[in-house]
Amino acid sequence: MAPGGRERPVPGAGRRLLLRLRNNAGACLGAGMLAVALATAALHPWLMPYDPIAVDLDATFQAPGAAHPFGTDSLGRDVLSRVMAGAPISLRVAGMAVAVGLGLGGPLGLFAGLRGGLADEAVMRLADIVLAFPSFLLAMAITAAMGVGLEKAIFAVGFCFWPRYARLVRGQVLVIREEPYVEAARAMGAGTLRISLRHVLPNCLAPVLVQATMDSGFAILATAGLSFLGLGASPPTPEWGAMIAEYRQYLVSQWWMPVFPGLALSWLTAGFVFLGDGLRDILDPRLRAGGGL
Amino acid sequence: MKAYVLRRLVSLLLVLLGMTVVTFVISHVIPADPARAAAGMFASAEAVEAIRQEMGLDRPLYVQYWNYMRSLLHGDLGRSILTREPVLDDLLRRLPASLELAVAGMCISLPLGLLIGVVCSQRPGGLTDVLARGVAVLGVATPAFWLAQIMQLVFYSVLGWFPAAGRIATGCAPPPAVTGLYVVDAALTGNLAALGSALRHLILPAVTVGLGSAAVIARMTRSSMMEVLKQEFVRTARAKGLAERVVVYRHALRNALIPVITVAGMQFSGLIAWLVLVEVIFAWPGLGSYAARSVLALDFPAIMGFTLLTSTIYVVVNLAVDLVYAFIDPRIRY
Repeated sequence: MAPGGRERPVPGAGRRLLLRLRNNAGACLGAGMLAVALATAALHPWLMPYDPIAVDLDATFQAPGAAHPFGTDSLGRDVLSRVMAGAPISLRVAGMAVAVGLGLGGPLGLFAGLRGGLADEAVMRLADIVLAFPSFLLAMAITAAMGVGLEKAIFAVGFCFWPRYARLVRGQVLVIREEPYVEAARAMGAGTLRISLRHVLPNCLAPVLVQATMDSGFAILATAGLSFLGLGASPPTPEWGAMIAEYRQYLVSQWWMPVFPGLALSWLTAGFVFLGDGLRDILDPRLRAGGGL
Repeated sequence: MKAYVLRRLVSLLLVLLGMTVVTFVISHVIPADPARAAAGMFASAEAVEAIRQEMGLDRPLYVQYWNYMRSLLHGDLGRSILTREPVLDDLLRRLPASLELAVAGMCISLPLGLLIGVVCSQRPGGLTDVLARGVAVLGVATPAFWLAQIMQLVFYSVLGWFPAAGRIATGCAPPPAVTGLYVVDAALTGNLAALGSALRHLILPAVTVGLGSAAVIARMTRSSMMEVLKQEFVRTARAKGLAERVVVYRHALRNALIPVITVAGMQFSGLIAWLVLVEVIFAWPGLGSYAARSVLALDFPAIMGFTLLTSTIYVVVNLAVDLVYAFIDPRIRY
């Protein structure tokens, strides 16, 4: 009861989460950093001062200045415009890689948890084997086998995520299926599919959200790493990892060329890590580290 | 304890077997035409067909896997398309350089990460904590292949303190091989010129790989310390009048170390994966630069050999870390 005697309406789960996020400095910082990246990605066609792939041989190697705040590259392309054009690519990388990992691992974890027995054992041992590889190396080998390309690199990185989601969802299923409300639903005749969709999946959302936020940062770094090795995006695509690789030879004489794409990459990844930490503090009280930032 | 070790060793063997299936699938099943990949883009149809037969790719998959396993058990990882040498020889020749870099990276990251984590846990939410945690997040979020370039820019190009690339100066002969680790070998043989040169070349790449891991270890140490500092034995130790330094470092840190050691173990083995990117930038002649070159040339025997070797190191180190627990924490008895 509120002090005034009137009942205050109980906010919904989403609103409660937002209210708690507001009190977590790290999460606010992360959300702010991601908001800048999202706004850049959404508005880049209007924000970019120049065409990111237009060659201007009269303006090569210009140091940062009024006309080109981030300078220009060896082909006279504006580095600021290229960094801005890279924002939607990296956000797409994060979204797609997590979608692949969750899309494969979520149903497998659900299946393993609900069926138990041999199916559970098989899925979990398979997950153990994939987890036995360092993720970046496995992604590198898969991309090399599938052939060079950004989409293939994203798939390979996302594929390495599936065991984490399978374990996470299975763990939640094992806890939730013993809950009285699930037993009650089963007693009322609800089938496996209904129980999964109505009761199990909503309860998996919180840990999956934390994991997905953290993985988004790793996906961006790993895919940029693959592009750096020449396995992901290739020039003239303004993907940040590919740009760092392309500009590497100019590091000593034209430092601005590799420095700004790297800063952008760190900005976006740090945004996901700050937000992921904050979400974990809020949604998983066992791991709550306190302090906010 | 014995039963636990045995169980873990059996499960390790099963995981290693599973890993061979995964590497087999990646190298033999995913590529549309592994024979074409091995022969090169411009090879004639006859040449591709000859390679297909030579590699046994015209046989059923289970026969191919059987042959693959038989070769593996004989230590045959195939022949590199790029160097024309047996892959195992190539890998073993380059392993010490990577090991040296990974160990040096851990020598930087472990003390640094522990120190930052402990300092942060003292006053959670304080200015030091907020700043250090912010730096730790940046450490996690900064791509190693970019940080490596910034290191070169600042410490080689601007300040001129350290060399930009390589393992030892061109005019300096490498020390006689004892362990293969230049710094250790130079120290063992008393070759001071080689020791100085090897150390100067090692510092930048080691700091690059170490900083990222230090950030992860610091984050883990902080949260683990905060859990432990809330426990009753810490309150008792304080109530006894022990100095805060003794409470933190003698009582709390020892108990907080268990999850930190897991993370440190994973970081060490994970470092080998990230070395691929760092070694390329510092022209470090280790496994990573070998893998990067092989990837670009689609040298599948080399890529798969590298993946299998490093992943085996990864699982063995992680198992070793698990077994070390029993010695660190007397409460753990399997």
